[in-house]
Amino acid sequence: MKELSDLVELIKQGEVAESIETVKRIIDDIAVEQIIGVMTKAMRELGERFEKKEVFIPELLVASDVISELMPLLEPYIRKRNMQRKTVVIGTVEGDIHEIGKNIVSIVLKAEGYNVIDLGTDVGIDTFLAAASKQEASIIGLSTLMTTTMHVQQDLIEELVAQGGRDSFFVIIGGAPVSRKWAERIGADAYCDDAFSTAALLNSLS
Amino acid sequence: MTVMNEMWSKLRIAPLMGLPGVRLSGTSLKQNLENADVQFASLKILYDRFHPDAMFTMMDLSIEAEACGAELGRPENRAFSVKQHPVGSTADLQRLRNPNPEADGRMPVVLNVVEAMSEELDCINAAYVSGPFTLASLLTGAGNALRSVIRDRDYLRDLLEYCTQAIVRYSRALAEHGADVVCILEPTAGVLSPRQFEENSAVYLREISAAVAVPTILHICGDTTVLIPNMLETDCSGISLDWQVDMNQVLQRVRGRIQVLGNIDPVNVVAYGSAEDIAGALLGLISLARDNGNLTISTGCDLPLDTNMENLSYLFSESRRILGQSQ
Repeated sequence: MKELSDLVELIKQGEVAESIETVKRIIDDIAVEQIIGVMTKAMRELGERFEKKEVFIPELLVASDVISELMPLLEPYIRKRNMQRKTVVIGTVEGDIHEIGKNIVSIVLKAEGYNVIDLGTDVGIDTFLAAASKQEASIIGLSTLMTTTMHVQQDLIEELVAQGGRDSFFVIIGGAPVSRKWAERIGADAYCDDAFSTAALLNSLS
Repeated sequence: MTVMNEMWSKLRIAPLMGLPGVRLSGTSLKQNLENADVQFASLKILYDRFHPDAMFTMMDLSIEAEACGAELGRPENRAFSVKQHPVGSTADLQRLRNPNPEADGRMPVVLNVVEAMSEELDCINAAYVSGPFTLASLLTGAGNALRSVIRDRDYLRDLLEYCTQAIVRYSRALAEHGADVVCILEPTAGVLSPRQFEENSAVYLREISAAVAVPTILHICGDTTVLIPNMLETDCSGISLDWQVDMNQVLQRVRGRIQVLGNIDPVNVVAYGSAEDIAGALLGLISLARDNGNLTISTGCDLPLDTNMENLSYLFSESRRILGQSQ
């Protein structure tokens, strides 16, 4: 279907209006999984180019904008087909309002078919844990860009342990000051340095 | 030998430290960022304890944004941050004030800190300023700035020109109040492509360096490997690099033309690592420093508030021991 291959390019180029138009035109004629497949393909292709340093954050952001705009169109169809999706609760930890990295992770995971509950920025530990429990999430993603807030990642894991719920969640951390070493130190399950490695890791767990 | 070369030749060990002084002075970060006497006292404790070759003001990316009119969140012990981005379009730029460093926001606080540093600390005294793309991101939101790189270049150019003028005025005031070096913090530009960096940061960094009477150091944290050639074309007298960058490759490319600062991991090695971690990080770096007079042993970014002081002591003593330098 030509529209699907066109859509891949439209997403990669960040063409919001044309992408929405294309999806509206085809959505009643094909399975929603195929459109999610197109989003996955577009973001993976961008991811490969990002890895090779051929595209950078601005290009990822404008492509992410397209996915953000398309998701509300797809949601009713996703619900209708009762698709099984893993739920990820994600947010930037309390005290930190940086959101770009977290947003890109959120969008890439949506494009990969995950049910992503994005709690936004400056999210307290209680909010994370309540959302993860209410949404029956299996994965919690914690982002931070500041050395002054990275400890909140540790605090959340300690709180999970204290509540006896540590084994219920796969906790993944990211952000500029943190690292694999930090993940090991605080008992996180994984550290990822970008959205695409996060998706690849979570896919490998499935 | 020029005055600048003489100055750089003395710059051997200079971690980007300011925040650890907050703990040592028993104050809060907020007090340090709002009160020049408190900040200077914290820096003086660090200076007296470690005698680095350079001291920096406390890293604070909200200074210029606040002086331009942005409202800040001011927590007790975390970095101040912009609560609402005041600019969304070129028309909004008219509403921003052209900051007067002697009067607006907390610019006067930093000017007073620099003055005290200049009078009392016998080392190279460096003052931070925000870089143009970073300030633009604080004023319009990082997402908006990064999208504008592709979607609205005219708006971004207007905003960057405004930011550059604000940074130039502030940098000049810092130099007039005694800063030996202005260190330009441009972290947000670190996620741009080389071409985007040239168009949206380097061109303005050159303008700043040309307008300021003292040398400038460009600091960008994170993995800036792909941007190094562009960073070298900003007319800055030095670059400060984070731990992800291969210093050997950088030094080969620089060939002594400018000063290079870096690049020990501030978090995993210095703040929370072990003595072995520090020794391991110093091993390669110091042999490079011995061969390259233009390499300053420093951290890849600012040290966290709760940095292990024994580690910081060890970093200094071990660096000096291997370099054969006395305090």
